[in-house]
Amino acid sequence: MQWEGVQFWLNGNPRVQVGANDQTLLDYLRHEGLTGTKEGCASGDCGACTVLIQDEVGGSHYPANACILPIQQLQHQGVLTVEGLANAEALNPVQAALIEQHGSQCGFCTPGFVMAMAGWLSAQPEATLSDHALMAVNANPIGKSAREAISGNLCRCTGYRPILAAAYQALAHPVENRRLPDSFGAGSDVTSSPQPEVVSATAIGAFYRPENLRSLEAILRLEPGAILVAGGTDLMLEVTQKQSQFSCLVSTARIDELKQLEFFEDQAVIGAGVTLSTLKQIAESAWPQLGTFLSRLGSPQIRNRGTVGGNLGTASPIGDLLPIFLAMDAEVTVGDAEGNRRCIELSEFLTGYRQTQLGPGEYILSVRVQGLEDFHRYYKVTKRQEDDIATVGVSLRLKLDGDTIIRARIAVGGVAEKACRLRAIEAQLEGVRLTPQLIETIRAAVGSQIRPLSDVRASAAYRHVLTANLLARGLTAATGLETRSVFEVEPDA
Amino acid sequence: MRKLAGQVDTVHHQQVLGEQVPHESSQLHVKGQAQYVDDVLLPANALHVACGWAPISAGQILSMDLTSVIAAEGVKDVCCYGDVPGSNDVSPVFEGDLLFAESEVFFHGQTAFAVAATSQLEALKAVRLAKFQTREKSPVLTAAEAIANESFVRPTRSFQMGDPSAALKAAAMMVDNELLIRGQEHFYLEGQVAVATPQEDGGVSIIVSSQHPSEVQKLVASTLSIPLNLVRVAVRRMGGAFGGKETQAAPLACIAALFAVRTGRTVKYRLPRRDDMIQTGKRHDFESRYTIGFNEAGIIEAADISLAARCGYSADLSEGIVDRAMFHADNAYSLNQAVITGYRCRTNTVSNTAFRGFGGPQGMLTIEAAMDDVAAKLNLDPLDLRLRNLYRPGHDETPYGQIVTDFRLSEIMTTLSESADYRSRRRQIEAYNTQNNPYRRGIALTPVKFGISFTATHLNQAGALIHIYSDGSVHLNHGGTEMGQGLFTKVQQVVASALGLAPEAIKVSAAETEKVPNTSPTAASSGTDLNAMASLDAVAKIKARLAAYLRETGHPEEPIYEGGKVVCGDYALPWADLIQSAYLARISLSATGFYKTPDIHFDRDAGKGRPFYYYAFGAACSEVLVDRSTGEYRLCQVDICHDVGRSINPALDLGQIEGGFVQGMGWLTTEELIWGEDGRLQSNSPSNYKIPTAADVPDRFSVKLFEQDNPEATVFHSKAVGEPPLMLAISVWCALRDACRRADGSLPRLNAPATPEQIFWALNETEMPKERRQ
Repeated sequence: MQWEGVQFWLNGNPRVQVGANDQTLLDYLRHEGLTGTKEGCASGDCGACTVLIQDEVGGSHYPANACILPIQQLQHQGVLTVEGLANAEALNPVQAALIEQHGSQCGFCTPGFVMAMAGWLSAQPEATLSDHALMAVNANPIGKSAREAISGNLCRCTGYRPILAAAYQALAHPVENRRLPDSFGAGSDVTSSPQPEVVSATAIGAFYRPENLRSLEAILRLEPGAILVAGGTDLMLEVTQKQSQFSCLVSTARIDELKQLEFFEDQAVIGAGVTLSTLKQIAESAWPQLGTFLSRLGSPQIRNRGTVGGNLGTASPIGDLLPIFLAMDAEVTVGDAEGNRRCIELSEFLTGYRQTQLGPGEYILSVRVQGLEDFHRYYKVTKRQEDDIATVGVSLRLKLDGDTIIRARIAVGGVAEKACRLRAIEAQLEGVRLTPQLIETIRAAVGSQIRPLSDVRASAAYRHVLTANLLARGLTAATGLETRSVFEVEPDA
Repeated sequence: MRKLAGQVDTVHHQQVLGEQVPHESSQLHVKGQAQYVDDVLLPANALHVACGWAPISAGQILSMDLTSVIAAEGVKDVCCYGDVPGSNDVSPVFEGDLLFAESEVFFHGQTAFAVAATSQLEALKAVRLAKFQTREKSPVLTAAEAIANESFVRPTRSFQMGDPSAALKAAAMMVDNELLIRGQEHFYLEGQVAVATPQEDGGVSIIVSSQHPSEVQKLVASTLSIPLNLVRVAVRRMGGAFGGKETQAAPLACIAALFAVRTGRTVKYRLPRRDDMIQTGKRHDFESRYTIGFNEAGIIEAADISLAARCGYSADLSEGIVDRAMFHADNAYSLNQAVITGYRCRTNTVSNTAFRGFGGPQGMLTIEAAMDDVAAKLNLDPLDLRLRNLYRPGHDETPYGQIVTDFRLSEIMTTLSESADYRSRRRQIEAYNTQNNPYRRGIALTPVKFGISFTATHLNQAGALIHIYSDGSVHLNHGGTEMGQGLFTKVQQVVASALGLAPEAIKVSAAETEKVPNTSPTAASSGTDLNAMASLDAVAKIKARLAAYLRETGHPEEPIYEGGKVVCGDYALPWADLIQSAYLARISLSATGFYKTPDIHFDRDAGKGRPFYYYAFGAACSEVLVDRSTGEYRLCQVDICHDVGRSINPALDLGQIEGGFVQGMGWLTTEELIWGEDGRLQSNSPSNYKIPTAADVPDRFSVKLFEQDNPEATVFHSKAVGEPPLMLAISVWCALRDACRRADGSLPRLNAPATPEQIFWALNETEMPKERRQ
């Protein structure tokens, strides 16, 4: 189990890197002279460092933020950077279209956009819709998918219109032109190929990549103080923003037992290692309210790495999934180094500001939610529509018998030191008829149940009234009067 | 085709001009091969800088213990103000902008010491180890506090026309109001960065992401106490700048240069995003007040407008920025008798600096808010009120004495109102808003009139250097810097056209102080106006020599340069052949060029003159949809018509208009700069400071160029386009306020940016909490 660095493929070439256990892919690339991948923020917010990752030879490419991706997690995976995307003779269609549509000005964000768009294009059907039709994103799924594909990329020069136009133009290219190069070497298998001889740095700290729960538990017995890293989208900010060091990191990314995702009756069991992208994709049909909600959690790059377990484990008061899971009576299954299992109600699991019941040597195995057939709504208000942290998150679930509320679950985020259920409100709702008068009573009662703060995102007073109004909106929706988000509605319609 | 006025002849061969030539670096951009400062390969022993600061916003540093910093792994050198051989003052114009804090701390984030280590990570870790003993003072954080303390970075000034106080008393009707306008973080995607390499003669060579290489040169020289001729500064391109790299890049270059000279090694100083957001200046916050007197027809008779800018701890460029706010407090309207006063307030915050529009946007937002107030008072359509008050014959003098000529807004606004179907949409929206919907809608059509020229008259000059090599290839250098705006592309087109060559035949090289000296910043939208003209001057000198040579060799006709050939009457030869023979005939094939903007002057003491060579105009119509119970909103449709004169490159101009609009929209909607009561910037990362994403761009976004020759003798009769479009976004803010209109037709107060929270409070005024008013 000794750590000997990471072997991976980069633009078709095998690489080995030892170095620091928390080195980011971006740091590695730039030190290797591959400077097309840029650092704009080092926090996964701007997308200038976007690269494409392949899990296996011939597999699909997904975009990720190199700036917060621990390179040691890339064992036997493939990385495609802008340098590997196109050869001198033929540009990728998105590159050609960006030139033609004047989609770059200062050019600094451009390689990140190129990678995000090239990944998107490779998965799209051939189409030649007009720009105009595509720009009407609410009416057009392809236009919407293009916009979503670049929602994790910031451009400060162009105003995005020509970048979107380039994405639409690229759609007209035949499918064979859009195929991405394999980041793995031709016909190669990294596990059997000879290792490159040069190992550029000595190891700093320890890094483990268990392949199954048995190995994970064995490592945790040896290193009970180890830090678990799944997608790293939150943890790596400690490294890039605070220059923290971790003596021992354990990656859970390769443990298939953590990736189960099952729906049965009105329940779902979601493994801790399930990425937010996978959850979104499945939920779009199996749990549509969540599927829609997830398009506003982070960006594609973040969702491709970030996991359900990570969102639970960081226990941030503004973790987007927490109010949702609380409303769905979530139960967290925790494992430990000795192979024991215990189930904890999520509301008990979250103990404080970024605090959970997880002890040394413990890890999150999965989360079970229920009540998917009950009426449920999940709301989030932010300053900016996309890729923004919630000012307030409100989730509710009602089991109704006619217009009588049999069961109510109300959960909120961003209005206390942790995400929490509003049990007094739930009690007020249960057993009574859902009427406009009740909704107004609840709207007035919410304020006394929460303790929001004023901070950079909003004032306490706004959070108070927002929580009340969103809850009232959800309750009203349960009566059949839905108020859709301004982002989805056309006033003329 | 009309001949340009002035000395330059571009009458022939303009096929390259007016074309949608792609950005000269676009191939490199999309392939990731465009090199930025951070991409340049450095020697293995290069050092990396990080800076530390005291944990207070105001007060004294009693002691600074750097023992652990010096001992930290990888640290090779540490500097503070006592180590500066020359001047510790890095002010661009006045004084007081400091490289290192001395004993007093003026804002949280003010550099107190710098570390050079073998990696950036080591440097960043080391700066955390400093120990400070301080005596903290309560920081002054707002313009209002500074005015109460009479604490200013520069003296207060006014422009006055007529007798506004008498006219206000006499006016039939009056509105008065106030407005808090927050600043804006530049958020250029490429953070501030400089690399210094020591030279054998005691000088340094600098590469830097700066809009102003000559000023970097000057400040590095004064820091090191060496003459300017020992400092070389080069800027190939910037990854965005927007004004944020006009003065703010110089301290990085100075600190890198200081370490380079001390250690004999190449030194890089690149700011991590958080440090960049904390340590570098931003757009000024303004607190505006206005009193407007008008008659029953809505004609403005008098105005008293005061503009108080939060400048931060020092002057930086605040003198000119507040001037420009004052110059734009009329926007497009005749105010008749007016007084406009600008306060330059000193606060314990980072020194605010240039940002696209340079104060103009804040002045313009103030008068546009006032126009809506006046219209509401009279129950008039705000567009009619605006149209009535536009500059017009007999009402064409600005409060600073410039006569507005070639005024295009009446035509632009009327055309836009028709093409955007403003009237019927307003009727629909008003009807919609009377119904009991969960949403409110709003619409606004607002103009922009923006003055073009540096208001510091001496900056309106530029130089160029052209070399023609013996194979006919052309190397061009000018004082302008490329930050994405397409300056190099436009100048390339202009020069190619003048020589009858393809744009690719002209190599526009990095701005370098060794090639063109004493340059002005690439700022004030002036890049093309100045540098293309200077380049044409150099071209004209070479063409004069070639014409003389052709005359001497028996071709007396005026040569025509076209399609890669030179034609004299019935004699024609390829350009490269002409150059080869001219070289053999010992003709100098290198020339410098120079340009200064004609006919501008301004008497600052009198507050009168003609500060602007011309104005650029535009108008935008925006429609929004607002959620009444959350304050969330969506921009549904935007229609723009913008005056670019005769466009050198319509694609690049369109890019400036769209990009400027979206950037302005960010400023007025989601980008909220928040400082804590302790004076620390709270919005210090992209996770809590939100610039627009693609989803914020409206589905229906139509931009038309208003192409009509600039009557002034600008290059190709074009107009500057860098800054003016930013202010088109004022229509979004006005539309949002329109959506918050009360039942009686009056308008609530709305601060900028109009975040969902601000909109919510505007819709529910009685509940607005005090804490979010400031």
